[in-house]
Amino acid sequence: MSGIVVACLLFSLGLYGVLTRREIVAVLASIEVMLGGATLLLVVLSSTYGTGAGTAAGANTAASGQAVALLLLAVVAAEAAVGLAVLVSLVRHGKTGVDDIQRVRG
Amino acid sequence: MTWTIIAPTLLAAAGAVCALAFDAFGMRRSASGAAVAGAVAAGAVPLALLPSSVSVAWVIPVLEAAVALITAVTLVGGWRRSTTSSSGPMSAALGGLVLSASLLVMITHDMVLLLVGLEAMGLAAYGLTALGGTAEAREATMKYVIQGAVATGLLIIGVSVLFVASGGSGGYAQVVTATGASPFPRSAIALAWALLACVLAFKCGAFPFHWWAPDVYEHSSPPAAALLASVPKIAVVVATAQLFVQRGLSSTMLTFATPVALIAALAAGSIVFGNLAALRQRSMRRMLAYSGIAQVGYALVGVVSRAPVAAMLCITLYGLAAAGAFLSVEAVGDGDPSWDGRIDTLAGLGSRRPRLAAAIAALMLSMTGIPLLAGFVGKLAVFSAAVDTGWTWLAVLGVVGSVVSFGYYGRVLGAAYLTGDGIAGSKVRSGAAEAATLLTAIAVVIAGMAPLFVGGLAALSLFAR
Amino acid sequence: MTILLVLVAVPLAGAVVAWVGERMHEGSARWVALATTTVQGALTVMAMSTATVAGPAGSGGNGLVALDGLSGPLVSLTALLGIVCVLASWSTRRGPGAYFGLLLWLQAAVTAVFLAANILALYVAWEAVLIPMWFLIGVWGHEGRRHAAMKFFVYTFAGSALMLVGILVALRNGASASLGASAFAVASTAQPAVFWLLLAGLAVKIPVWPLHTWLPDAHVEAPTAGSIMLAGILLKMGGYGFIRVALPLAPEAATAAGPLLATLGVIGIVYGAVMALAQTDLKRLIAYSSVSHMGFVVLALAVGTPAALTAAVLVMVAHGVTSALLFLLAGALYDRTRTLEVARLGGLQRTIPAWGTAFLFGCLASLGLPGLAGFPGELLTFLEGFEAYGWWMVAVAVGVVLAGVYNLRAVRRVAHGPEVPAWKGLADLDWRERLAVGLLALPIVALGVWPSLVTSAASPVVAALVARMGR
Repeated sequence: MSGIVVACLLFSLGLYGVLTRREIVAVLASIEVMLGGATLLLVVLSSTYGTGAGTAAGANTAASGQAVALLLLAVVAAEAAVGLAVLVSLVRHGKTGVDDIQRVRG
Repeated sequence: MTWTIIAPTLLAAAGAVCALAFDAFGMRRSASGAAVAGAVAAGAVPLALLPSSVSVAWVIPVLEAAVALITAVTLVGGWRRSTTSSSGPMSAALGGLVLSASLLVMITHDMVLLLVGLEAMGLAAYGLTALGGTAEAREATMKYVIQGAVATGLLIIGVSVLFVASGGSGGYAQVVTATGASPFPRSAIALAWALLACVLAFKCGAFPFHWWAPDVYEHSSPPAAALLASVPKIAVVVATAQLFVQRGLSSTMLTFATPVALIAALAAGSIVFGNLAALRQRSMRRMLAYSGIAQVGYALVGVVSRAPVAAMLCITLYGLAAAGAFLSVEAVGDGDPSWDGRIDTLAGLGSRRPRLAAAIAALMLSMTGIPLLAGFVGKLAVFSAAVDTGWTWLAVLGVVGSVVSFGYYGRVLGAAYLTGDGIAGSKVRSGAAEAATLLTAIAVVIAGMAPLFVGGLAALSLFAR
Repeated sequence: MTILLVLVAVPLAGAVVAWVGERMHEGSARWVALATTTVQGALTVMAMSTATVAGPAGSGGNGLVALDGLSGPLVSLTALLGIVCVLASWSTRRGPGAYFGLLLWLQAAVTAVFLAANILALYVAWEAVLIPMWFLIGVWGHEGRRHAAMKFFVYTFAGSALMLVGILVALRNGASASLGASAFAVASTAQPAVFWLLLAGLAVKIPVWPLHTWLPDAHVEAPTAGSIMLAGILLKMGGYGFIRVALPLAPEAATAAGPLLATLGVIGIVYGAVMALAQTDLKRLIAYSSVSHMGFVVLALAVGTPAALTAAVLVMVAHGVTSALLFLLAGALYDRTRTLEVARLGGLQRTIPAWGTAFLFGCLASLGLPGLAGFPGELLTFLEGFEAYGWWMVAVAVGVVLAGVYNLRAVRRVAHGPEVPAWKGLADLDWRERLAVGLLALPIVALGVWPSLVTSAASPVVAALVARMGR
């Protein structure tokens, strides 16, 4: 149970950061925190509830959950890489803050 | 057996990788060609492996082929850009990756693979947007990345809950049948389904998760926008239809906010908002972006009406026309580099470039839903399914929306044909975009007329379910 | 039978040939169009003589097309007006290839509407009429053409989109998709929804007051051939659809809606007449007179007895030829004088006597002079309406009187009176215009003297229809 709390806490912290931080780097970092929290939630859920009723016979939910989590790490890393790459191209033109990228509407 | 299912995805990815390799050696044409070849191969394989008699099993392979065809056409339409600019081959490769990921999303029946496919699609889309070259493109990409990341987080949460609830397998069928016996409280399951619906709505640009779409489509290069506005939407709607319309997913299973009601609300909101917002747009690409929101709404009506094939048909036929419409933007720009992208300044296109204007007319009328064109077939399937399952109000809303949509699609026609002759354009830089637009327009006309000749309109009953 | 499919295919093929031919050889489009419409006319005569009168069963090609006594007169009208339109547009300078191509496409689509034996095919053809008409009004029309084209499209599309929902609801509730002999009414609970949704589309087309506001603009701004097709045949699609689709599918709802529709019809008759009185532009006057005449159709449809429905068909065909003649003459005048302001015209009987005589003839037909086409249908409508609604028909009589007033006043102002010096040297009608006038004058007289030409075809079908509805 505490694992779920921690995961949700991380996610909320990350989300809060995304919504409120003024520097794009900080937003990207908050995204990482958020996604990390989500992945942690997966791991915790699969290991806690994986052996209850409804489990497919012979399946090891905890293991599959953790395997998926590893996969997600790669996905999250890729997302971060792309985000940072776009940030680099923005910084080249001097824009580092969230307020600087408001030329685009909506 | 599995290889043949996964082959299209791999072929498209292989084409993209070859494109990257060619690009490393500076061979731009070969790079673009490799990407196109990958897309064509990805489309040919499902068609070659179709079972002999027409049945429901035909649907997904045909749609895969359609999606691959659309990608190939947009890559061809962007030929000038991809062979003359330094980032061109990269765009072609990313296009191939978008196709590959979208095909994965369409064929998968497993939530984890769905997640991977959606993420890969998103990443390639971020790259494509950023390659639009302008400062606005970079800013739009950054916003897209941030919003997409939030969506990813929510998706992971939703998938985790459902993954564990289904006993660690994550397959669509298991998720639906096992959630009844899961250890989680029903409210958690309901929330997970709702999250899933919202994230899928984000990925295909439905209201109210559409914020990224107008900027991305306006500021990426037109061929990239053509790809992004069609293929991901098709893939996500197909996945949504396959996930949410299964036996067993009834309202008795979930405590509150059943997915059906939620998706109905999303559909209705998209139709209303998309049409009203598009009416106010002066820029052609922004208009197409907002109208795309409404079109996704029409397709989601099919999901609500428990007619997945109708929904898939509707969005695919729209995607075809939308790709053509964005390519036409590129074609007009090729002939007149000083065009500012506004609808009003299309004046006189009918006399300056009659073939292109006729193609645009066919595409606009198809998206409005006029019979004899492809868009009508899709909308007929969806709306008849809606009426058949008791969602008549959604059908009426959709029909009214189609009428309203002539307000902005017709504006394009009016500018091209009804306003005075414009100044004769300078020599067209490249005919590739125009050729691609004509191709999509012809496809749209053929797809629209085909039901009249092949099997009569009664064949639509096959698609209504 | 394949001849019916040929009737739809011939104008389409002609459209393509005309468009292509113009690009290869200038001036060929109109000849191709003339040839096509003449062939179409001959084929129509052939088809009419072989069609069964009792019903469309068995006379369709793969169940898609059928011809019977109800659609026959309208198909013939379409073929006739096709020839007239080509003759009227003979001197089109601007993009004649596209113009005649679109005109022939329009003819094919309207023919397909009347020949359709499947409800979805009817809808597809119905919508297929929109595109060429939009282009004709929008590209070749007069000053206000853009607004008129958009208004026309949006109004008609809105109505027909709702009609589609009505069709879908009907199909959901057990109606069969094929029209004609096997059409059954849907369940009573579903009938109001089906009827009103269908009526949305039909009412815009006929047009029923107050959904008529698109009509004056569209008629005035359209080129001559466009106005002829619009007033002559497009409006009839609405009445035809009512008898063919709405009435069989939802008879109880139609009966219940009778009084309301009759009221709207009578209002239309009077309103159209009053507005026509107030017009200073000749074409707009004729447009409002169309609203008034179609009010008779609405009234007849509302009454709903077999005789009344036959009267509706009669009025439709009569109005088709009459309004075609009037718009033809208005167009011919506009080509010469570049104005249709009644105040600026005058004494034309002396300047261009052939035109003047034809105009007088057309106006007499429009006001319903006995012996000419308008009279039998209007009289029958009046009698049926009186049987159903009694002394309310006084309003209709007022409308008829007003029709006499505005028509004769138009003749007096335009054709008689002092000659205006500006029009001294005008050329009179040439051979093709006279031919077109003759082609229309003949049916006008024939129908007036011999209405059974139409009624003998239509009334068995109508009677069978009403009998099947159990009324």
